[in-house]
Amino acid sequence: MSEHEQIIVQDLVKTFTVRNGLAKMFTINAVKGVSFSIKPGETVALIGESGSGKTTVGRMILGLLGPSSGEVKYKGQSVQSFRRDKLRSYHKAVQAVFQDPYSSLNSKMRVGEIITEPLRNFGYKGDCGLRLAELLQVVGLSSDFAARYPYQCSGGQKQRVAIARALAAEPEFIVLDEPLSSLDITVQTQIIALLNSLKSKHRIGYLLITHDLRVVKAMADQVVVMFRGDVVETAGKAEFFACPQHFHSRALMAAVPSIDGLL
Amino acid sequence: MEILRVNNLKTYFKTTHGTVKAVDGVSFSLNRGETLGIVGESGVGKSVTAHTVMGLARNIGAGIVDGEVWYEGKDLFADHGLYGQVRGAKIALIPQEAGTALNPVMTVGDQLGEVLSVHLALSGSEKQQRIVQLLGLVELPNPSQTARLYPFQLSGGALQRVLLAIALSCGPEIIIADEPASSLDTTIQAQILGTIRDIKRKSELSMILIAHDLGVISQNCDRLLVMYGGRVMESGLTSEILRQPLHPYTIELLEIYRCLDEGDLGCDFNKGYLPSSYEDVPGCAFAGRCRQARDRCRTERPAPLIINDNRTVSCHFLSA
Amino acid sequence: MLTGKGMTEINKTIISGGVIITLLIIVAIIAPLISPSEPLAQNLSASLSSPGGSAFFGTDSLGRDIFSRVVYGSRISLTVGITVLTLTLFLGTFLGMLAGYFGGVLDSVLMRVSDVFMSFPPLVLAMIVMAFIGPGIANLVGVLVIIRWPQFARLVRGQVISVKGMAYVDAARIAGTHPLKIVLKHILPNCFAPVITYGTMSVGAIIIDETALSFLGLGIQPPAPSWGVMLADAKNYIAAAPWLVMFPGLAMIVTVLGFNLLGDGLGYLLNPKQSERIEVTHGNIKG
Repeated sequence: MSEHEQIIVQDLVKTFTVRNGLAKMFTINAVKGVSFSIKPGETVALIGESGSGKTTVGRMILGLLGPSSGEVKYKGQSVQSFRRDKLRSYHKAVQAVFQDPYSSLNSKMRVGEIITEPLRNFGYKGDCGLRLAELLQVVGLSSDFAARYPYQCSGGQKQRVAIARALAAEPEFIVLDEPLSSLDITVQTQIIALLNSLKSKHRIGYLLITHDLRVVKAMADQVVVMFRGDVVETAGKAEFFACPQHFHSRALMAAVPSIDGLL
Repeated sequence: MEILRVNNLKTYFKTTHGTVKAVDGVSFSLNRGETLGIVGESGVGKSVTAHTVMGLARNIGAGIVDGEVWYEGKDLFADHGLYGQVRGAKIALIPQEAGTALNPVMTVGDQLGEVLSVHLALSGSEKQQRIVQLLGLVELPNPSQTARLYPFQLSGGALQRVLLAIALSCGPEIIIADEPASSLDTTIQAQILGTIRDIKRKSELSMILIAHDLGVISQNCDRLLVMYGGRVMESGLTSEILRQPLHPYTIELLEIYRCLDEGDLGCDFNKGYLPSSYEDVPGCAFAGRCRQARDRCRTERPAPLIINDNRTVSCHFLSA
Repeated sequence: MLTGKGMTEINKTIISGGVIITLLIIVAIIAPLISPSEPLAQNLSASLSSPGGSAFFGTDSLGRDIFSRVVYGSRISLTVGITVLTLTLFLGTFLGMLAGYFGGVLDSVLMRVSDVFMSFPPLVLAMIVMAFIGPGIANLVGVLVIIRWPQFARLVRGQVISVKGMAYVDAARIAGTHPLKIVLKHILPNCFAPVITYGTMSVGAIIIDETALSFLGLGIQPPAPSWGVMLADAKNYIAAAPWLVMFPGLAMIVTVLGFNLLGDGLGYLLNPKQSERIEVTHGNIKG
């Protein structure tokens, strides 16, 4: 696979300076030099706890935040250099589903409007109404959802709306930032099944940012473990679960409350 | 030995769209020294049950509250005045949202001190000692310094430990933990649950643990209640239920966990949904989602079938 | 979703406030129809007569009918109140939006400017400005806007800052939405709730400010029947003719009460955290 098809993250660094009081400034090294790549049709799980820097990496890949140094390359070009039009075409190809379904949908807009917003912005030539109906069906929502407001939807339904929005412009990659953490286990499994089927059908590459190893097991192909801003382990899913190398990876695995533990 | 008995608890909320029966006939008992788990998806009524047992149903806006809560030979519901002595001192609650359960403008030590003042008569220095002791008991580093910190200066895990300290402060017999640590990272959650287990073992505490994660329940609870739609579907020893679940809902939950664990995505995931709470469900609460539902299930509410000393299941399909 | 009990109380507040204000507006509109005499018509032979007969509220020192003057005065109060509110709303929202959205130097500058305005006791500032530019209704409106815009700007700025960080704004950026459209479609609509509440309650305060300035002779000028002017007239006759103070005073109380009730009720309705309600999502109670 050529480099051109992938998203390549290279030596990404992000440092925040925070003012504490009048004069004191201290720096937070959120991301200390992270490199990996995401191929179309593949799920890369970026694992870590809060404070590991994984969300910051996600935001830099999405172009919502500029890195202190290093770059994110798409089609051989550095995303950091994109402005206006180029950024727009980048976003047509790289979308996102955010963690909190309650704050990722504008409560003043109807579901139909929310989902078709990217279509209108990216200059979709076809019939938006048809595409909306298509998308609702794909994510398993009935057509009457288009007229609903977010407050009329459950957490799981809101996430489906967010996924429909991400899919609207037919992206090549989707950054999923803890998409399941606020959902119940039964709803989680449905969303996982949906995401996996979309991935294989449309050859989309996912960056799955999470701390839940159960979800990683169900969705990932590659695993990248972050700890306090550094990448501490990279492995294929099978090897990772069979034999995690780094102590933090092992700590994460041990912490998963498994049912068989008691029996 | 039974230390708490709850009979036919009902908590209804009046809303502009109808009456929501958040808890609809829940009965259970808690034995001394054991941990009873209440498990179910969000929205089934676990948290409301906890608040109702604590006598706090009206505080969260309930319209109708009914049932019996027997503690130390008295029905607390018959005489709500008794709650004044019991709540906090004998039965304590660790609420769900650690972030908002603490007053942001008071130090952690002061908040602990406040709880102590209500129930115990301690001198100033005795109180200070107890505060430091409690913060140490919940494994917070540098207890005397931590006491002087404000909630915003502490991490989520530390806040949860503070809530635990507050619950333990007056030496209660029973602790009700409402989804402790469910919003925290898995490693922190594991640590906190470990701390709770240690404390419980050393002090013969009895606990009701509410969780939606079956893994957490299986690692911490001796007995278990499975709730759905405000009702108890199945109850019994955790090990028995997990090894051989009888109620269709429990079976479905366990199947999901197994599927995820083994990475087996060929599993058939039912389009699970919780019935709108405005619908009055005459039959079994799970009928709308159950693969084995028959007509009888939709019209007649199943009574709990007592299988043995410890085990009850509410399902028509079994008794047939 | 609100519990049954909560909803009736909120309804009561909104309805009572709404009824008062509606009545007030009706009175202001039909003033000529319900006033027995012209508000400016003097009748010295009947000066300072107590309430009764054709003069329900009595007459003032120049024999003018108090009832008619109070009724016509409502026009002035409402006009000033609503005009000032509208202008302050626009100005405050615009500046608050700029400060909140762009942050940085623009934000600091705007906030320091608003600090300067807010550091003066409002009436003192108003008096100083009026002293320079002279009295009159247009100037009055301008001055009242000047003393009120900082509060609105700050309120909107605060809202914008918190909304800016919401995931749906990020989502809009990723969806390729133009920044201006993000502000208009995503940020502004989510800032309105507290602004509406605060705005409604401000009308009462604006009317009080106008009354105070008119009382001091710096606002509406006599013989126009502003309630403030009437109170200024009345101050010499408080013992002898208490009705001169009572009726304009009552009118003010009722008006301010009406706006405050409405604002209060709207506040509870629009701000979910304030009212006692259970979070009901998708028809389920959490937990």
